[in-house]
Amino acid sequence: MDTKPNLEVSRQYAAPEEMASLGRGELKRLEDAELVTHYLGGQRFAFNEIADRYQDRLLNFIYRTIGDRDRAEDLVQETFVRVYRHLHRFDPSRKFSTWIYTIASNLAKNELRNRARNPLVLFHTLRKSWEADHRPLEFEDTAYRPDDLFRKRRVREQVEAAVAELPEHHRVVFVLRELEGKSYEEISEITGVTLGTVKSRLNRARNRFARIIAPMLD
Amino acid sequence: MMVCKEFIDRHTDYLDGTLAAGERRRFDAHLEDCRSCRRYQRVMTRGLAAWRALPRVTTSPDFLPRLQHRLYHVDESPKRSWRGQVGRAAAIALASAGLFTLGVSNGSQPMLVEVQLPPVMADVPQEAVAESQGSRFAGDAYVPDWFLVPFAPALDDGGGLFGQSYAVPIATSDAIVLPAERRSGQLDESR
Repeated sequence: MDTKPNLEVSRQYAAPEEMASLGRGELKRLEDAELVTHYLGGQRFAFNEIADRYQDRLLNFIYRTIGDRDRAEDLVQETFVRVYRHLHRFDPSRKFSTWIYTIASNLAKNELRNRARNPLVLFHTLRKSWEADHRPLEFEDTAYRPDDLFRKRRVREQVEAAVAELPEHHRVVFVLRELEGKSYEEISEITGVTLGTVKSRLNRARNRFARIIAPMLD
Repeated sequence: MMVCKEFIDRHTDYLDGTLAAGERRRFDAHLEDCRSCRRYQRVMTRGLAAWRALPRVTTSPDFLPRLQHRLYHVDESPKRSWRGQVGRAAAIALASAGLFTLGVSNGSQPMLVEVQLPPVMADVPQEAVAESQGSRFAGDAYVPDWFLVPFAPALDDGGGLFGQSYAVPIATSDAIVLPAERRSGQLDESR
């Protein structure tokens, strides 16, 4: 017998009594919007599945945008708290991933703005990056020879530095496209700018990125 | 014929494969001819590949337990605030009712409490007073006009409620003795 609830194409939320209780394995097979429906229908485990699905994706997105891993993790937590609070307001006609990325993107942008206003926070971030960059080489992948390791790390540093140099609004678009593989339309929705602006920002970001790393990769 | 500027400006479309077939052929043809744009294309492709190959970070092992803890408090906070709002509303209602009751029972007159205080008696030897004050205080203590602050002068239109010049003495401890004609309020302008 098929226990999967009959979710209409319109994806209207079902009333709690219509919801069949699903096991964790079954929740994993559901689409995001279906998970939202199940959560709102009273199935608490559905939210755990959402968090499990998005925690690392959001962490990478925020980390590559703000450059501070610990703070990025705090912001991912904050993203989930906001999603949890406002899930009943989620418009099911929209894509859930776009909605959650919009929240995460706004938090990342606020963080960058606050940091620009607070030199102490900036200092701590720079110090953390410095410490990470000066870790001994032997803690890295030992399958490579030391000169390979050095070169690999150097390229990685250059690439990270190039992205960090991009202006905030270019960087968000760049990370969403190059790391998360979002379409122009999704980026437009997440960042709240027009499709033309997304293209223009992405082109400028890529152009600048190429100029910074060119000496390293030639 | 394509120029390098057009190639760079529209490179995103070329890279993402959103160009029409004819346009794409123009870009390909330009790449064949232009060494500089070939270099640009190579750097971009390799750079983006290096960026995408950066190690992915993962959340710490206690991420989900911490999140659950926070969400538990999110669940609790609306109940707390609901209780707080009810408590505040009840306190305001009680205070309003109390004030209303007091107002009604006193016929909307303010409550006045009369307190009887014992008179203050000074017990200082006469010799000591005479010694410290000398002949300055031989007469009556007098507060000069210019030490008095008129009370509500704007409302005092003469003869009204404030016709009498009410005044608040500012300093009386160091009172000055003036001749009798000045005490009567007639200033001698010729001095």
